[in-house]
Amino acid sequence: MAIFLQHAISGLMVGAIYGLVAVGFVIIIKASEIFNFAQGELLILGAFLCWSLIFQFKFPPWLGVLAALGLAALFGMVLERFPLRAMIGQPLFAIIMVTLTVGLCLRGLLTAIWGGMSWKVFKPPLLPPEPVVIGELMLSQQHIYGFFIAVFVVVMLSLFFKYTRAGLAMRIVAEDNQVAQAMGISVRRVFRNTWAISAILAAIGGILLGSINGINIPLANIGLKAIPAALIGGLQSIPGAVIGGLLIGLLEGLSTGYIGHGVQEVAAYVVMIVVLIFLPHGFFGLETIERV
Amino acid sequence: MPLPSGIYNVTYKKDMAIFRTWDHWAWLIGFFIFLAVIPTFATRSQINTLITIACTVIAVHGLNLLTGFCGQISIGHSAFVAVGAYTSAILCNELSFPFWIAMPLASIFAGLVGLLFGAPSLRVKGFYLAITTLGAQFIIIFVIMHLPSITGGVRSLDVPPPNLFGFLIETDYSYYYLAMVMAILVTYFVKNITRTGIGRAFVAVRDNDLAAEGMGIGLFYHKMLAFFLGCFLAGLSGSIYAHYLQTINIEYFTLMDSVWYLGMLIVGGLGNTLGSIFGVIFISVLREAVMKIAPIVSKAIPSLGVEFGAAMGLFVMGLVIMLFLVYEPRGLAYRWEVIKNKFRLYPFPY
Repeated sequence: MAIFLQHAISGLMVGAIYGLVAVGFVIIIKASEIFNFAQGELLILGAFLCWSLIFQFKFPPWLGVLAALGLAALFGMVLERFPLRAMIGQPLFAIIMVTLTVGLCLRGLLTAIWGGMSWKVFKPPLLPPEPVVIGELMLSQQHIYGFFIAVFVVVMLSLFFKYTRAGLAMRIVAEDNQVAQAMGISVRRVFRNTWAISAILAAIGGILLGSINGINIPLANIGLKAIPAALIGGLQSIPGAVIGGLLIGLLEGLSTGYIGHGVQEVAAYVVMIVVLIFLPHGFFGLETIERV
Repeated sequence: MPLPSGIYNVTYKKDMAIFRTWDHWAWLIGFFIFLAVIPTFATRSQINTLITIACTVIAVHGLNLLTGFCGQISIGHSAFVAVGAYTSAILCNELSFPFWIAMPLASIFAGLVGLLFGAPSLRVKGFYLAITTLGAQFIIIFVIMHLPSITGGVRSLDVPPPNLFGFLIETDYSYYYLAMVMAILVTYFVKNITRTGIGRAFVAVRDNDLAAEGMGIGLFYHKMLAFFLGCFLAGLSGSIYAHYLQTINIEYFTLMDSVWYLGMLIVGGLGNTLGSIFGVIFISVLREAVMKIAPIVSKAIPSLGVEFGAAMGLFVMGLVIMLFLVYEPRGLAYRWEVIKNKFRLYPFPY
């Protein structure tokens, strides 16, 4: 039982970070129907920026993290301007390919700047590394912090959507672009904000994962795990993305623990395909009804 | 497409002809003769590039049928190429099948695996289906990696050279002919499929699947057929490529390769048989060029580091595909048509 809990809890802790990245993926879909395959690259971009600011430019850690988030947001806005604004209303295939190629370009750029396979480790770490012991369980303190930071960010985000004017505008745009425009809301500004928020969420995820394990380019493949998380939850649902992320994390924790290392790479996809066969729109996705 | 001056379609047969005039035929025969004499003057590395192009053309034709004509986006095409390559290798190694039996069997098996991953298209479509094929990429490669007793796992697997009716095709120069002939046959096959009822049904499914079903086109049947044909050709390509390299490794069939296949399709032009060939040639030449230029640049500016070559390759090719998507979404094949029409009517403007 203790072993089960150990695997399950450490899986859930990582899953919260997947959920965070998946939320970033979902809010872009809700606003502009663009599927961002470059989410993983945005994630390592934020982590690399943070690492450089703190350890190369000697910023104090809190300022380094904030500056990295700011730069990531700026980068998200730039991406929205080119090439993704040109892609609104284009066929699905073009959208998928553009974000895939943005991801490739970014990967190339990051490899050129920070090097491909070498690990960049946060030393001293941002979060205290000593594990804590609760009963029979030994939990990494970093994972616990990561989990609660991720939960905190998602809660803040939902409060932002609920109580601020900008959040309200984003919800209206998610409902219908044209109605929003008729109501005097700048849809462009909303898209820009959406990309900025999505990039910040990815960067937070990246900094958390990076401070736990270190950063290298293949960490960007986390972005490809956030996608099944978002699909299982349903592409239009923010709580769905969080639940999907937790589920994928749980699954990875348990499959690594019980089946063996390496299974976690595909477990997410196998479960996703099974879920999609029975629930074609995930758990909370918007069902489109089509009849002939 | 306007016809050249003075050419009229007087019979149905003439209307359907791919090559309408004697100069079309002359160009075609000239091109074949050119392909046939290339090995007499090309260097070995050029021949290698050409064989790779021929194999890739076959795979991209398959992807074009599936994605370009039928509209079912596949982000896992290189996994199906891997299925073909490994099946063919295992059939030849373990059961000592001759190449000419193993090749079609491997292709059919790849097609059947394609059906397995295409089956969700009954229920899901669009982005959800694209991610299912992305899942296929990870799952297939995972399965190959975890069956080390027959696939070699992460180690390389040796493949015997093909033995066609007593001729051992071992050298690159003789393999060049095999690969080219297969590429030409597949091009002919795909071009004709797209002109028959099946091809028109694919296009109808792509453009509006509900309307297509309303007109009596069996959606599921045609989607499955597209998956089967697309993955069949992927398997064929994998089989030919495996017997050419004589050793295969899981590293050759990554997600990145799947993305390059899609990129070739975009650069060439979706839903155009000629486009697939243009796209493959363009991206392959670009890749060679980047691989030639990158060492020069990194030698000139040593501070860029050792990984600069790989980084530059990713960046340049990603950027090229992105620019094509934004500025020339119909691809090189469309540009080619425009240029051809200009010359056809020269010196008149229309």
